[in-house]
Amino acid sequence: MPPGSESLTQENTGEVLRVFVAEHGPAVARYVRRRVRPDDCEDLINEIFTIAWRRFTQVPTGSERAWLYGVARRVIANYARAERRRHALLGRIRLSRAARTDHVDDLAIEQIAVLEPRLLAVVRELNPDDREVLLLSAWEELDAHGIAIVLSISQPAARKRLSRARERARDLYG
Amino acid sequence: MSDDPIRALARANPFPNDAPVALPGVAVAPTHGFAHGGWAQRVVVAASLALGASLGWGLIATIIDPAAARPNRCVIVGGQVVEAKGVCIASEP
Repeated sequence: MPPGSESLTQENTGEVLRVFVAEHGPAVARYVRRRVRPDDCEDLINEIFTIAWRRFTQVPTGSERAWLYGVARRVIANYARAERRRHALLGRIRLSRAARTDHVDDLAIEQIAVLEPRLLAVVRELNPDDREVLLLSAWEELDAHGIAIVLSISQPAARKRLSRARERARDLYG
Repeated sequence: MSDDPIRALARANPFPNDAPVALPGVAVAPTHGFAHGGWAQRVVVAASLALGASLGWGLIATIIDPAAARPNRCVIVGGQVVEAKGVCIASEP
C-alpha cells in the first residue's frame, strides 16, 4: 500500500493522494504520452489515477509505478477501442492506424517512425507481445519484475518473454 | 554498422524520462452535501482551496468520485468555474 493509505482519514486523504500523484504522476504521464495523442493524454491520466484511487489499498508496496503502468495499459487499450469505434461511426474509409487496432503500443510505433525508419521496421516485425516487453524495458526502464506486474504475468514468464524479444530484435536488426 | 536494437530503441524514446511533463491537479473533498443543488459552486470552492494557485497548466482539477464511471473535471479560471462536468467527490477511496 502507498504510504499513508493504511490510515486514511477525511483529514489526510487529500494529502495522501496528492503525494501519490506527485511521486508517480510524471512517470505515468510519460507512459501515456508515448502512446497516445497529446490532446487525449490529460483525460487518460485523470482516469488512471481515479482507478488507482479506487483501488488504493491494493497498490503493491514498492511496485507502485509498475502497477500504475498496468492500469494505464488497460485504460489506453480501452481508449484505442473507443477510437476505433468512433472512426467506424464517422464512416471513414481510410482509417488511421489507431483506429484499426486496440493494441497499446501502436501509436508508440508511429512515433518511432519519425526518428529511425530502420528501427521501425524491426519493431513492426516483432509480434505485439515481444514489442510490448521491449518498449517497457527500453522506455519505461523496467526489469522482469516490473514487466511482470504491468502485464499481470509471473516473473519467470516476463524474464523469458523479455529474453526472447531481445533475441528476436537483435536478429532482425542485424 | 550493427548497433544494438535495445539501445537504439531507448534512444528512439519519443518522450524521454527526463522530459518535463504536465500533470492534472487533484482535489479531494467531503462527499456530503454535494449530491444535490449547488454542487458546482461547492466543487469549485473545494477544488480551489485544495489546489490554490499551484495549478500550472490549464487549471484543470480532477474530482475523485468513486461512484462515477469517469473522473469529473472542472476548469477554474480566476476562482470561477468556466466548465464543469459531472458531480463530485469523495473523502474516502
